[in-house]
Amino acid sequence: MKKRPDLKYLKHINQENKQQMESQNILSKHLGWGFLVNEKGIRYSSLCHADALMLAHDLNVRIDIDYETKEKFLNYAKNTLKTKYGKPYITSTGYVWATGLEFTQAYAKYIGSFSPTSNGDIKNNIGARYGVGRANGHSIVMDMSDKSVYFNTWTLPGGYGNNFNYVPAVRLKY
Amino acid sequence: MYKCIVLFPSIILLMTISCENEKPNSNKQIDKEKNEINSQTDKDKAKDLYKYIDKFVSGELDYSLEQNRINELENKYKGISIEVEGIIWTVYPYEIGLTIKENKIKNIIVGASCQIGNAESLFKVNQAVKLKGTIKEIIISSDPSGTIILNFLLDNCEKIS
Repeated sequence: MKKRPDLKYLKHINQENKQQMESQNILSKHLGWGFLVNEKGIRYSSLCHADALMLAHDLNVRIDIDYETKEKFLNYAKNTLKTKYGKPYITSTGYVWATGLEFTQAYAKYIGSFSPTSNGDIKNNIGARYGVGRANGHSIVMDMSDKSVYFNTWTLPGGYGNNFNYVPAVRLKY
Repeated sequence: MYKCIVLFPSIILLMTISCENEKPNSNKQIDKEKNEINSQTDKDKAKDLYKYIDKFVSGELDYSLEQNRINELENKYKGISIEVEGIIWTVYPYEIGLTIKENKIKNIIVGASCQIGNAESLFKVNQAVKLKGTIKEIIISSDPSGTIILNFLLDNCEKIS
């Protein structure tokens, strides 16, 4: 089941800071990294997974974190944080080596919020309301209560990613 | 003699009030003129931008090299007010997505994301609109399949028609 991305949930927060359309492009542009290059030689943002993980967390703990802070965290995750296998949490091409839980826990610690305690259970419908869904290599924020697309981090007039059949990929417990 | 003493300060007081009332009016006039000048300057500046949009959508550019030009454009036009006209493709509570121009053969789109209060009750998908907004960012991007998109992120948008 798919529905139009909806930001109603964010109505209570400052309009200036709320997540915008093109959020992954905004992050990549400001950071200067997190891009891949398509066959025409044009860069496109590949920060969908990291962006979706951060927004799902924001929604679950009812906070709004601005782009500047998210950018600082992403730089910190790329340059400083390492998984137990010695890989950076996120690479300069936007690939997230850390698990959804590891990445979100590090983000929660960085912004000083509640932290997820463990992985939820997608099959048995256990966990926080908002999680990350994936399809065709793209990540979006999913409302796990009805498994619908809640927010597409890359909604552009071209429609990329709007019509994929997303399936839940990361659902955490708090 | 007594009447003169009472009347004199009253006249001075009236004159003072009159002067104080005049000041905001003249300020308003200056502000109005300034706004008109700024608006005119913005319109002149925006003319170049509209020319660039036409060029962008034509498909004649080497888009892999356009990032630097977009950065220059953003530096030049950030903060100016522009008018955009197009078809709404998505509506969020505080934001709408607009397609300004499209080259369907070459898969090139110029769009705008407009921050606007109460957007959901004002707009509908597929509605044709004309808006005025302040340029916050200009982003060139592409999707993996190669559609090239130039998007204007606009703040403080107002509906014109």
